[in-house]
Amino acid sequence: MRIFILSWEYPPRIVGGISRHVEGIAEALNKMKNEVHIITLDFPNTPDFEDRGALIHRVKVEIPSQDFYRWVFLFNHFFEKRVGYIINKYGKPNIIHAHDWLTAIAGINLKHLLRVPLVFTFHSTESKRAMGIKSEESRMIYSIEWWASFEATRVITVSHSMKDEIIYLYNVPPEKVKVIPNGINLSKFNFSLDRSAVRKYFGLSDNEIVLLAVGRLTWQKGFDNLIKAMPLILQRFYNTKLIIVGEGHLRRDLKTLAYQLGVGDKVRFYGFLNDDDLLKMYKVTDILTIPSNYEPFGIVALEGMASGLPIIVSGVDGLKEIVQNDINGVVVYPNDPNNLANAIIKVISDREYYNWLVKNAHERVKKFSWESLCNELLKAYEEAIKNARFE
Amino acid sequence: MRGLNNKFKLLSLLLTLNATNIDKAVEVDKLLNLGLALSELESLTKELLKDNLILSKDGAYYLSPSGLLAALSIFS
Repeated sequence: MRIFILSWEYPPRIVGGISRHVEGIAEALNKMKNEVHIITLDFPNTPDFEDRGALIHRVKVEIPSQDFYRWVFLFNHFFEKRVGYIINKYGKPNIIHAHDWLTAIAGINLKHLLRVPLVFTFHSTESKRAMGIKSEESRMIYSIEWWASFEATRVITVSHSMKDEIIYLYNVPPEKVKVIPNGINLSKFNFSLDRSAVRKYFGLSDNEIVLLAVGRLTWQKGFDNLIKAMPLILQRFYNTKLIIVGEGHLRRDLKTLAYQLGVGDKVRFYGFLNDDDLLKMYKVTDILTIPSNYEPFGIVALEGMASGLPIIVSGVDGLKEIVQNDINGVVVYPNDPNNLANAIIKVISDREYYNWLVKNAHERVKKFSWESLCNELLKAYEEAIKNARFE
Repeated sequence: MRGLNNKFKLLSLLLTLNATNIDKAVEVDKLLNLGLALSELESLTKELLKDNLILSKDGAYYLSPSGLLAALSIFS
């Protein structure tokens, strides 16, 4: 099958879960003998075209704009233009698969121009990202999300909670929606390293208890609650350090909060880490925490599990579907720093409990291989081809 | 725009002006559309340069790879 995947991010352009998700399905679909084309945006020092098994076409936006939303429409046009070139060389696709509202316009246009069925994956919704539809921009994005869900023959969500959300928000017929969670490439996590040397590289000492949080510094991720939990944790374990990996517009607010609470020297912001460094960071950390307020899936949870870490997560959305409390992780109330602190203290204090969580998490994560998930995805593609409508 | 502070408004503007490499660096006058005073803009660019989120050449600015990812994170 020839598959065109539209995504605004693809490694090394890694912003959130979309990039890793698209990379995972592209590699797996390619191994399964499909011809996969990724149409994505460019990134400094990467080629316009790359053959990684999957064929990666990086698009430059050739016209500047003062406004983000106009820029999105522009890059969608440039996606369409590039698809024209790709079709000339390789032929028409059997499926177009667009990811999130950012590439929906190109996906819908190409569906009608080429008369090829569209599959659309929701990685999150505007309603949750923006904490409600409260602005003109949000209303427009909400409408594009509805439009994509209407035009797509199959809609994919990354968790069951998100499936419910989509059905509720956009009135999508339930039989049209398929849940295909994020997966993980376990082989990437199978390496050993010199823990002391790597800790030193990150400016950490051997005797520190390292808590890790990974994600964009946005409201969704709930890192403020983790910082608020720190004073309580430090009362019991003063040698604890919190490492936050990621970038975002709340960086300064979070830093200020840490200093206001008197834990500024115990919280470190590392910004974005490249893939290699992030994998190393997981390996030298003691506990992974995911205190999100909203998490459609939570790919970081899988990465923590694959790295042999106990994970402590908020009981929200997709995270509840990955983690079973007290079995392969700890589930705490969202937006409750005390609950979070106590869970962290318990995991640090009880080595037997710690090892139990790690052992079970390692088993759990094996269920999320990209190959098995892509069998489901191919079924969705076949259903989309069979049921395609172009009126 | 999503309650962004000026720092992220500037990163977002550099993103949509496609200022993602040295050849596409933009002069300060193109950034004045943010509605900031020149002095304010200068102190903002200083801060972003220090954080390695933007880079500059001959008084023109463009996003570093980290800055680009930071800008994208606003909308993802």
